[in-house]
Amino acid sequence: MNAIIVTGGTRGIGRAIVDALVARLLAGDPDLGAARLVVTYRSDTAQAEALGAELQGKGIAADVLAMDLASTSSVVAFAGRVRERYGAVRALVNNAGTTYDGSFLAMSDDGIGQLIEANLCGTIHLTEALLPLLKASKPAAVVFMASAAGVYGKAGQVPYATTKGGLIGYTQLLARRCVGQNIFVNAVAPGFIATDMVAKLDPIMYEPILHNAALGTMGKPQDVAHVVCGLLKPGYVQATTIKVDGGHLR
Amino acid sequence: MSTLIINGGGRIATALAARFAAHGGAVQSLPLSAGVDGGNELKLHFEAFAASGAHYANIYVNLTEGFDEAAEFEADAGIARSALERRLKDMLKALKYGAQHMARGDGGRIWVLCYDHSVSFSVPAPSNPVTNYAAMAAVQCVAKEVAHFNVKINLFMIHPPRESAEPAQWRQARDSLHVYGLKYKPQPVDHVSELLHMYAGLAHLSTTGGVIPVGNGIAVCNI
Repeated sequence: MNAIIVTGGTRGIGRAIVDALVARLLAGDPDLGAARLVVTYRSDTAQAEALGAELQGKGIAADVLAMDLASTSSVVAFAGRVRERYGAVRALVNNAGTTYDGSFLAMSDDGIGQLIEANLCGTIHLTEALLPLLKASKPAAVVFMASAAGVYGKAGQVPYATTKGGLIGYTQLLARRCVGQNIFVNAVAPGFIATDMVAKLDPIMYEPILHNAALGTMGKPQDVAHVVCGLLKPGYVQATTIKVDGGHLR
Repeated sequence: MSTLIINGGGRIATALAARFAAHGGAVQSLPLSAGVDGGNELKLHFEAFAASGAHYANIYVNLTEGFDEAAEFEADAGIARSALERRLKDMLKALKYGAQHMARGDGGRIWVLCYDHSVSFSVPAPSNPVTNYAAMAAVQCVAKEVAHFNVKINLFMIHPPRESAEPAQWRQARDSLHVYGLKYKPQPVDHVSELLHMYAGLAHLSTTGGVIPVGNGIAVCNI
């Protein structure tokens, strides 16, 4: 059976992607076929168990598995489990990531290094490990979760933006390596999205940011999920990065 | 006016260093040791230089030499990933310690040199899209943070100079691009270094966070 993998899928944008995929699987989307949904989480076991129960209740064939991009052994173990359980990977949504924000000149070298290891190199490691299984599914799709910060930069997010820029570049590199293999490789770059984390903030902290978007509002996780799901279908979009940022102004 | 080239070497950085020297500029080179954390070397270098009362006006972070991501990932993805990790960590630390050094002085200019991968489909040139896009993002971010220290950071995205491929390979590349109405005309490395040197000597640099394309006929960082 083919697997559809969403990393970091228990909350935020990842959870919205899972929900969108569930809706498509329940509707019998022919582009997805009879795939098993595999969702990864890093540490919140209770949230993972709740998601697993919810998916089971909806009749979705799914596994919710722990994986930490910062740990080489964790990535290897996860890729091994996928290899053992499934014959092919129909889609890999590389959503998981973390942040290390603040004044760049005051950041520790270790903190900078750890973010590169997890966000960029961990994601590349996972993708390379699953590449044979992606090639076994025809077609297949890989979507990387970049960021608007990786497209036009953002003060206070130097290492984060660097890793996201790197993923944009890796999108090109992988697409070039997969020429003629029916694997669609793209990235999505969200701007300011109203996740649970943002909802807890005082509006005075983010209202000025909203003026950076031509639409004047925050995006919803579902806005990003909609674009991600569109990129999972075979088509003529390849090696590109789609911004979901409400029309960035400055 | 002192200049530092971090990880010099290769046609472009060598030609640039020669041009600075020919114009009487003091150029130092800091090759970071392969396979070890470059952060400590960078930190110690800037500390020692500042202790002597000196101050760099221009710092170059050279990413045009010594690697080819596309070839490395094709050969062994694990080794390629480790090299990428080291390269990007060193780049960020170079930007951090370089900007700190300049912020403690009167400001200065940091230049990141990258090799545009657009033309690598047509000629045997390095293809480094991951490093290129990571560096572009980093430069755009850091520039926003350090502008108030009068530290300006820009990136040159340089197409391979003429000397990096045989004339027949350039002709073949030019012919293959006819269909797009584009003709890539490679520049001699001396012309490239002239442009880089000119930017360093500007009395008033009115750009920061910029990605400055060097070359013609092909879009920047196109696959």
